[in-house]
Amino acid sequence: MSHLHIPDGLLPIWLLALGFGITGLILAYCIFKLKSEDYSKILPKLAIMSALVIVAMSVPLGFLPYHLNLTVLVGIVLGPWLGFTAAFIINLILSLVGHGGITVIGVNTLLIGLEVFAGYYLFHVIAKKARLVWAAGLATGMTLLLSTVLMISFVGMADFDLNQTTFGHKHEESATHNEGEVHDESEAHLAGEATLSLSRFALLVLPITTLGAFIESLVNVVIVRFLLKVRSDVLPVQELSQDIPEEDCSTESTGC
Amino acid sequence: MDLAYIDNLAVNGKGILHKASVTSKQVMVLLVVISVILAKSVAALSFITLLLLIVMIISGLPLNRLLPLAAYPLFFSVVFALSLEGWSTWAVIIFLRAFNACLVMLLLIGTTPYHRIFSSLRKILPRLVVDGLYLTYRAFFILLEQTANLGRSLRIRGVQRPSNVIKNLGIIGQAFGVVLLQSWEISERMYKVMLLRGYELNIAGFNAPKIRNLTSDIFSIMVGSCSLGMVVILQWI
Repeated sequence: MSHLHIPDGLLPIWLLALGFGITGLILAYCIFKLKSEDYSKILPKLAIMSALVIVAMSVPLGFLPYHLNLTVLVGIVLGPWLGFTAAFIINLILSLVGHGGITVIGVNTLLIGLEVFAGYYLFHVIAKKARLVWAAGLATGMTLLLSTVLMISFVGMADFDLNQTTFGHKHEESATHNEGEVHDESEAHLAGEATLSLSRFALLVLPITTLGAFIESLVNVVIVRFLLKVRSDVLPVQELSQDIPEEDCSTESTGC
Repeated sequence: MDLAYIDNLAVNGKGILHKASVTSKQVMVLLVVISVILAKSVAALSFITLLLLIVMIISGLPLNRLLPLAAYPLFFSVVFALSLEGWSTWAVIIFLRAFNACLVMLLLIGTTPYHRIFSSLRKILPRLVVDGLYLTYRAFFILLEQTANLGRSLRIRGVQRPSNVIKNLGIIGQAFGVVLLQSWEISERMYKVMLLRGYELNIAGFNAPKIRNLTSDIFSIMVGSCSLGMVVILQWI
């Protein structure tokens, strides 16, 4: 659960606007970086990998309330610019079916986009020192844990004071104000005070996401190992200029 | 996530919202989402829920098939509700906000074919992204079928080891590897097809006949206005 499954109406407007603004800027930069590419070549790859992530997110891992993300794999295979574009497409489609709110698309894209960027760069850095399969596993684990910490930080940044309206109105403190006490009759029907406990939220979320990060790292190790044996050209093997061990080689591998 | 079923509802439905234009329905979604964000009372949110359920019934959408889709965001609302300090009706409000936001999205996608939704985004999103949305949506169904076939093959061959979690994860990894490989080859075939057909970043240029039904447009905007109006009345007047 690296991306926010937070529904609409919980994050403050400033955070939602910031999310959309930053996502828009990064997306514009990605489109600019991809200007020189052959769109008929990159578009099918973008679509297929985005669809693969959506399929993976539809498949729960047995009894666990967790699904694979494969976003780090998307970063490794597509690269950072196309990967971030895929992250936006994935979030937009998921929000249309209620998997994540429509107003949190910006924030969610930043989270998943971070996984794409971090996964890509961590993979390249670790691959200089370790085998590609282990680089994939370590990059996945580290990236997903990082995105979980960021997700919790976003929730904390939202400063959940649920008495605060989304336009920033706060109930004024008064000496006689008790929890649940209303100020005048017109507010009698409104809910009492409540605050989101970040520590409690983290306690609920961290065990699942840590286990999920471990599981996804294992799965990515297996996927990368499989791809190296069968079609290593799917991975950026040439960029890494790494000699692939013979047991990971396939006849189509260019690194052997 | 039975997107094929929702697609079928959107394309073949004959309800009042099916005849409304995409723009009016997007305005409805915007107004409902704004009212969900502003609502701080159970009464206002319950009204919105009731309104949306009635509209879904009027539009001929089967509640028994669509409401389970709303269960997913509700499940994650539990995490936030459990994290609250100072128990109050906020837990119910969190649930209702998630439920209403999901309901209005189901209303949109259950009454609007996906290509119309994506086409309407041409005005605000880059062409690469919009064409990516089209192809991703199409590719999703292809991959879903392949994944289902692969899963069936694995079960028939008795490959899965429920008692051995690590072994099972290995099998899942290899299965996804196979699906990735097949999808990579599909993308290469797509590229050749697009070259042959002279693709020039214009998939979204599909010119569907515009829907013009004033009554339906007014109805959808009224739904959004009612939900926002009720929130304003119940909370500030």
